[in-house]
Amino acid sequence: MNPYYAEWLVWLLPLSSVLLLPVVSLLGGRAREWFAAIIIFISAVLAVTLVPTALAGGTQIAVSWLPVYGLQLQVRVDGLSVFLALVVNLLGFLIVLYSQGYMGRQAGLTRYYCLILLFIGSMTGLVMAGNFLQMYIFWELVGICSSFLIAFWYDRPEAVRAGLKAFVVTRVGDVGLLIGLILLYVDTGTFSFDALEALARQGGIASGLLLTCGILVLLGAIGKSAQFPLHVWLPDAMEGPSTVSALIHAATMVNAGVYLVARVSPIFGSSGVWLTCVAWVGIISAILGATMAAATLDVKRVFAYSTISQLGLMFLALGIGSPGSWFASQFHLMSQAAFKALGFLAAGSIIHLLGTRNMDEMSGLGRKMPVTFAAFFFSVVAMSGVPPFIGFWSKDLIISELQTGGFYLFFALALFVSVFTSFYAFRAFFKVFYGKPSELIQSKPIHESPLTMTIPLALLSIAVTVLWLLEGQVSRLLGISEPAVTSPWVYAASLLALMVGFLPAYCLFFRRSPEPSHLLQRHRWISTIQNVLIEGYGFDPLYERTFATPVMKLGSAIRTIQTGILGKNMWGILIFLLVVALVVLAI
Amino acid sequence: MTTALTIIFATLLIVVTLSALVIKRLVYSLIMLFFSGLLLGAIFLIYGASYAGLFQIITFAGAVSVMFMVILMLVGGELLSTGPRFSREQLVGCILAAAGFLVVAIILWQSTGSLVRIDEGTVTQGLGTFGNDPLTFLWSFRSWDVLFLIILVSATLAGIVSLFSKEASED
Amino acid sequence: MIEQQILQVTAAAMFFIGLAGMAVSRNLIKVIMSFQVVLFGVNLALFASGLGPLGPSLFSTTLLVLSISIGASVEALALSLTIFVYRHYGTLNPWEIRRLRH
Repeated sequence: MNPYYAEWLVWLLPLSSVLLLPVVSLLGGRAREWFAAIIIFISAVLAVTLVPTALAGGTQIAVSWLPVYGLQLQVRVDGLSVFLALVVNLLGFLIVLYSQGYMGRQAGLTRYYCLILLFIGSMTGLVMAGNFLQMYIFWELVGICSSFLIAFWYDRPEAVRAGLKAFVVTRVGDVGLLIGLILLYVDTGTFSFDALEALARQGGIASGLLLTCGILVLLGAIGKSAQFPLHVWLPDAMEGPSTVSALIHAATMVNAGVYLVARVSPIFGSSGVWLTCVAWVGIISAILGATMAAATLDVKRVFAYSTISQLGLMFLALGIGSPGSWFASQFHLMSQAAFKALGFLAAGSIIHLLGTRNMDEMSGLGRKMPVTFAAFFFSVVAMSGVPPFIGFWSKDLIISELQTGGFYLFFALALFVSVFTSFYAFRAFFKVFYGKPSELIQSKPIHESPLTMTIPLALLSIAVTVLWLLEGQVSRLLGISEPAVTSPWVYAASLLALMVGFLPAYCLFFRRSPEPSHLLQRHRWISTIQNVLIEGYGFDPLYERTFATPVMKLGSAIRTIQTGILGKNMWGILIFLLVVALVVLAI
Repeated sequence: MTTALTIIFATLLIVVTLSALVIKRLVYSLIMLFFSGLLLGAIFLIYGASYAGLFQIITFAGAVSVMFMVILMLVGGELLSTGPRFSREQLVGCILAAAGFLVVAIILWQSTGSLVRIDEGTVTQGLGTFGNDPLTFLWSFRSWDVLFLIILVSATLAGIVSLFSKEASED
Repeated sequence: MIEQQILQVTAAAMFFIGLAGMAVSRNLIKVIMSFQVVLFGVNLALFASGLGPLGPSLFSTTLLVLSISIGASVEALALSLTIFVYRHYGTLNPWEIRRLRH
C-alpha cells in the first residue's frame, strides 16, 4: 500500500474538497482559487507517486462494499489508470491555474470551481475503478459535471440548450453502456475487469453475448467521446467557458470513451466484428470531423471538430487490435490532450478579449498578442503533425500500425484525414493572426494576459515540443514494448499529407492569392460543399426532426390534460382506479 | 339476525351519505354527514369493537362535524352549492365512479372474504365489557351511555348551527 | 362470512360515492365532505377485513383507530386551507379555481 494512501486519495481528495470549497470561498475569491489549484496539485503529486507501483506491475485494492451482491469497491492501479490519472491531474492543474486569470471575477465562480473539482475527482475515480459498476458511477458524474459546466452561463439560452443537448445525447450512449454491463453481469455474475478478462480469455462468454455487450459498451464510448453518430453535442458544447472546453471537451472527459474501449479491449477484443466496428466508427468520425473543421467560421468549433477527428483516429487504432496499436492510441491520447488543451486555452484568451468567436472578424492579431500567437502556433503545428512536435510522432505511430497491419483502406483514409487536419489548422491560424488588423481588433484595446494565464500556456507549449522524448517511459508505464515504425515510407507519406494540406491553406489565407471569396464565386461547387460542411452534414436537423420534435409534440399534447381543475383531475384518478380494478378482475 | 342488521345499517349508511352529497344547502348536508359518521360508529359498536366505535363517534361525528360547521360559518355566504344541477362534467364523474364501484364490488363479492382479511389469530379486543354477541350489546346497560353521548353531541351541533346561522341570516 | 362481504361492498360504495362527490361538487366544502366520506369507506373496509367468526380482530381495530385519527387531522388541515383559498380567490367553486393557464 502506498505510504501516502495515494490510491484512495488521488480521487477522494478532489471529491471531498468539493464540500470544503464553499466554506473556503467565504474567505474570498483568491482563497477559493488557490485552494482549488493546490488540491489538484496535491492530487497530481499523488498520481506521480503511484507510478512506481504501476511500473512494478500494478495492484488492485478491493474493499467489500455490498457483500450480498458480491460487490466490491475496487481501486485498480495499473499502467493505463496511472497514465490517464497523470494526464487528467496535470492538465487539470494547469487549467485551474489558467482559470484564475481567465474567469476573473464573475458571479458563480464557487459553483465553477466546485464543478471543476468534482469533475477532476470523478475522472480520476473513473480511470482508477476496478469494476464496471464503479466506473459507471463516475461515468455519470463526469457527464453531469460536463453538462453543468457547458451551461455555466445559464442566462444565455444557447448555453442552456447546449448543456441539455450534451446531456441527452450522452445519455443515449450511457443507456447502452448500462444495458451492456448489466447483461454481462447477468451472464457472468461479476463486474470486475480482471475476472471478465480472465473469463473472456478462457472463452467462458458466449460469442453472441460478447458481441452484443461489446456493441452496447461501445455505444457508451461513442456517446461520451462524441463519435459518429452521437457527435452532435460536442460542437454546441463550445458555448461553455474555454477552460471548460479545454479540460472537459478536449483533454479529459472525451478521453473517457477511449479509455473505456482500451480497458475493455482485452475482454471484447477476441471478437473480430467488434474490432471492425470500433475501427469504422473511428474512421468515419475522423473524416466527418476533419471535413467539418475545414469549413467552419467559429474558432472554437474548429478545435471541437478537430477533437472529434483525433478521437476518431484513436478509435481506429484501438480497432486494429494489436498491442502496438493499443499503445499508439494511448500515446496519441496524451498528445491530443496536450495540444488540444493548448489550442483551446489560446483560443479562449482571444475570445475573452474580443468577445466574438467568428474568425471572419478577427485578423491581424499576430502583432498584438505575441504570447497567444506563440501558443496557438505551437498547438497548430502539433495538431498538423509537423516534426519534431509530438503530434507528428503519435499520429505516425497510428498510421504505421495501419500499414503494418495491412489495412490499406484505413491507411489511405487516415492520410486523407491528415491532409484536412493540417489544412484546417493552418487555415485557422492564418485567418486569425495574419493579414490586416480587422475593425474589431482596431476598436478594442488589446493587451496580453496575466501571469497565471501565460505560465500554463508556456508549460503546455514546452510539453508539446518535448513530450515525444517520453515515449519510451510511457511505453514502460503501459507495459507494452514500443512499436517500431517499420517503413520509412510512412514518414514520407505523412509529411506529404502535411504539405498537401498546408499549401492550400498557405495560398488561400496567408498570401491571399487566389482570394478565397473569388474562388467561391467562380466555382459554385466549392460553396455548395462548404454549405454542406457548415451545416454539419445535416445530422443536427435530422436528429431534431426524428427525435426532438416528436417528444416535444407529445409533451404538448399531454400538457392539455393538466387543467388545474380539481374535478377533471378526479376523472384521472377514477379512470386509474377503474383500470386497476379491471386488471385485478381479469387476474 | 346479524346479517339482517348489517344489511339495514349498510343501506341506511349509503342512503344518508348519498343525501349528504346531493343536498344543496350546505348546513343540511353537514348534518347528514354527521349522521353518516354516527351510523358508521354504530356499525362498529354492533360488532363489538367498542373502542373503535366510540372513537369514530367522538372524532368524526363529534369533533370533525363541529369543525366543519365552524368553518362553514367562517367562510359564510356560500351556503349553497352553485351551478347547474346536471352538467356534462358531473355526469362523467358519476359514470366513472359507478363503473369503478361495480368492478370493485364484483371483485369483493367473488372473493368471499378471502381477498382482504386482517387476521391476528382469533383474539378479539379485550375491552370486552360489551361482550361479543352483537344483539346482547344493544340491550346491555352501557347502551344508555352511548345514547346520552349521541344526544349530547347532536345538541352541541344544533346549538352551534343556531348560534351561527343567526349571523348568517342577518346578512 | 356474508356480513364481511356486505360490509366490504358498502365500504367500496362509500369510497366511490366519495370520489364521485369530489369529482362532481361545485363547492370546496362539499369536496372536503366527500373526502370525509372516502375516509368512512376506507375505515369501514379496514374494519370489515378484520371480522372473524368471533368479531373484529384486535389488530384491525387498532389500525382502525389510527386511521380515524389520521383522517381527522388531514381534514382539519384541508379545512384550514379552504379558508385561505376563499380569502385568495373569493370563490369556493373548484371548477373556477385554477392557476394553470389554459
